[in-house]
Amino acid sequence: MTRLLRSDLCRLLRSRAFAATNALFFALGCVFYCLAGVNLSRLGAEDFVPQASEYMFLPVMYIGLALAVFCPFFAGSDYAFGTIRNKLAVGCGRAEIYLSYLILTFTAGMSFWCAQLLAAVIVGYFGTVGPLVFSALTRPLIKLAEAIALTLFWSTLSVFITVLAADKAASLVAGISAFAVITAAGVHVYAELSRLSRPEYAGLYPAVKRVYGILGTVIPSAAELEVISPKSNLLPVHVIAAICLAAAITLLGLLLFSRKNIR
Amino acid sequence: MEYVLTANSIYKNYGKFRALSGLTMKVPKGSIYGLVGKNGAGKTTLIRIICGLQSPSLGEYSLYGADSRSKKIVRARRRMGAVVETPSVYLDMSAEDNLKQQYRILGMPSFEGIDELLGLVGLESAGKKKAKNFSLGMKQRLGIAVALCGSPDFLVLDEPVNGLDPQGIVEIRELILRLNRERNITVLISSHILDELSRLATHYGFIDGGRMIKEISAEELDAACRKCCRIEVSDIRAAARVLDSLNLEYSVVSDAEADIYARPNITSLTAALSAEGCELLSVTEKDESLESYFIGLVGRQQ
Repeated sequence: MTRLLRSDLCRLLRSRAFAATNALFFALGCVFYCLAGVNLSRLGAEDFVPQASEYMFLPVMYIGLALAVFCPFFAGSDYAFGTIRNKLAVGCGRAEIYLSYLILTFTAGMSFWCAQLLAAVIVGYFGTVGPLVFSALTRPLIKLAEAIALTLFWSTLSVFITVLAADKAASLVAGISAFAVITAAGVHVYAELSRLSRPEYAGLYPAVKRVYGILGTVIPSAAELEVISPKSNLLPVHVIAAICLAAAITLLGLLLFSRKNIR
Repeated sequence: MEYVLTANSIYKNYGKFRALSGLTMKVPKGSIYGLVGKNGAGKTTLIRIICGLQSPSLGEYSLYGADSRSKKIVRARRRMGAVVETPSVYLDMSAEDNLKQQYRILGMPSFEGIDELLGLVGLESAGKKKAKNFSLGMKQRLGIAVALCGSPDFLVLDEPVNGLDPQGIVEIRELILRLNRERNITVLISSHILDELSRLATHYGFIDGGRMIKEISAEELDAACRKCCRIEVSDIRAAARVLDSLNLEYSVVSDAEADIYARPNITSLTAALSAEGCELLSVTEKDESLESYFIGLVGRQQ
């Protein structure tokens, strides 16, 4: 496992897709904190901090898309170049290969996030909002845990699709489609939950509300909306749900990959 | 004889299609084993199974005595290298970086030996050039170099000369022979360029319809493919007497035919046969190549 990780880490560090996505996230961080600077002058420092914090957690909303694009270029290239055969022929286990992809895709996801945070700190501190940027950084740890768990979920999904599709283009299309479907479902559930929690709906549709409540917890993209919302109830159950989903997808992926015919 | 690989009644199904049906084979240590078969005969499927890319539906094989279903197979695989179909190299890396990458996968403590490997396959001057800019021959040689990382003693090559120009074919042939002779590497090589294979192989396995039709050594094949003159006569007993008296090596093929393993003087042969009251009906020169032997073998099976 260590030797595979070492080899794939070297490949990750020299990957253009990895460098380009990091640069993109850094650029997004710069843009968001320029916008934060504009908002600071409009809102004043007191109202500004929660919003600035939202910018910090924004990547969790689109990291799934980034990983759906990045993973086929990283793990998928092993299929495209046929180099996965070199690994299997010299006795690397299939579980080792799968987990190595997963660990490095998750590492890449966290790296994208860090790139955006770094940009926020640099642009925020030295440019637009000054020391207030550090106030925005001090959010409850549970939010950070949620964001990490959701990044883990998207990593497992991207690796699952890439490894089983065994084709760069097909996994790219399937990954983006999966992201779009899950995001649309999450937005729908979040919108319904917001609607049903208005005073005029109090006491109405309790069963529907419960179903949406469960879906809102389980569907990662609905949880993401809660992560970035400053008013959300931060539930550790989001973290547990995301980790359980990630574990289930990984177990299924390992099972299917162990039986897959490689060409 | 010691065998590197033995396959015992391997079956492989893809849905309803049966790619291998009870294939059995033995690859002797130190040999260059040529796997001969038509397209779709099951050569690549067999190689994929041996390399661990796919599992057999039924049957088992052993590599260096390690059973394919045991955990020891992982250790045994460390002793082999493979190039399956296309050379498996990172196209966005140089030759040296590709080898370093394989060294890391193998968990080698240092990059010692990379220069020697590059020299061995003639890529020492490739420098920083990325593999995507290599010619097909260079990619093929790089693929072999990657397979040679970790000093394996069993090399599996699937169609290594496919798509190469004559110069490239010669280079790959010389490389395989050098690896076999100098490093005593056992090579399993599949190809349908039979003429090329006949210049390399010390053993052959003829495969058709997912079955091993025949396994034969190069010496046995040479004997089977000996140049001869086939004569057709009216009286085979009389012909045998004449051939004995002329001291010619021959074998009787049928009631009317015999193969003479020499170039006889047709005039004196005709005269001698005529003196025995035997008529010479026809003389044909037979020069059976690996190709005609294979076609004959496959034809007989069908």
